Amino acid sequence: MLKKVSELLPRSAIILELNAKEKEAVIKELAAPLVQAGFITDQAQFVSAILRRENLESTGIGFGVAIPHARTNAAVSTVLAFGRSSTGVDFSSLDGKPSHLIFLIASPETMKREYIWTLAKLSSLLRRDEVRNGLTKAQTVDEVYSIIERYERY
Amino acid sequence: MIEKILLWLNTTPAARTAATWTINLAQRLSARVYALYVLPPEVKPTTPRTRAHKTDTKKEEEAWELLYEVEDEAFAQDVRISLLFEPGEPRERFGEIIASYNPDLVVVGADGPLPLAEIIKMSPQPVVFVKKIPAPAGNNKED
Repeated sequence: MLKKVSELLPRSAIILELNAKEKEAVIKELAAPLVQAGFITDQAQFVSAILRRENLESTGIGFGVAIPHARTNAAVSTVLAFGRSSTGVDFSSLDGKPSHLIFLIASPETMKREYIWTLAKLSSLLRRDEVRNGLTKAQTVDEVYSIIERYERY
Repeated sequence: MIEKILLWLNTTPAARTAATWTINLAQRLSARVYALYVLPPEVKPTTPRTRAHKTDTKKEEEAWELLYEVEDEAFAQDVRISLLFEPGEPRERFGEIIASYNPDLVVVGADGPLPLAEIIKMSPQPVVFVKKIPAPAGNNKED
């Protein structure tokens, strides 16, 4: 059975204010807790896979949201990280606006179905104004968590 | 010279065939693909609000799944791709996307979101319609 978005997001991988200001550094900052928790075995390989994808496509889906993602054997299982940037980060979004809410998705090569499903679920969720507003205003990791849990029930 | 290809997707088998055809073409031409999915609004929301919302969300997730499957296929072939999810009336959204992105070619599955003649009329660029790949002989499941 496919997991819910909230089940794929470890609390340790929620960063309420990212230190990094540019894309590659943001990806490394978001990947770091996943490496530390053992979800990603090779950070360099993972970041390289993400950047290769970023060079081919925009993972900024508009509305101030970006979902950088990669399927790579550097990932042990499908897992998410989330970070907020009050200044915004350039993810070459089609609407030309910087991204303030950034979800990173890592998945092993073999888990294509879960990977696509998670991307679809997350993209759909983040198009909703109330979800984005909630994530923007959340003061704590628990609040971020509860917003995702609440809205993905629908 | 074809640099930008607009691929208009829906959930039909022909659209999926069109996606593979477009990616192969884009790879040969080093072109960028804009994969478009237009999700029409609910016509008559007669169901309770929560149930109607559920239906919308399910359809939206299916649309995103298709878009990301196509993205994954493009990525495997080093083809540049942008995903365009556009809720709204298909005629209006298609017209707006054509005007905004000005593609050099439009590709649509033969049983696409609008009648073929209408798509040709609306698009100032050449349009390719792709039929679904026939099932292998002896396999009637796809017929």
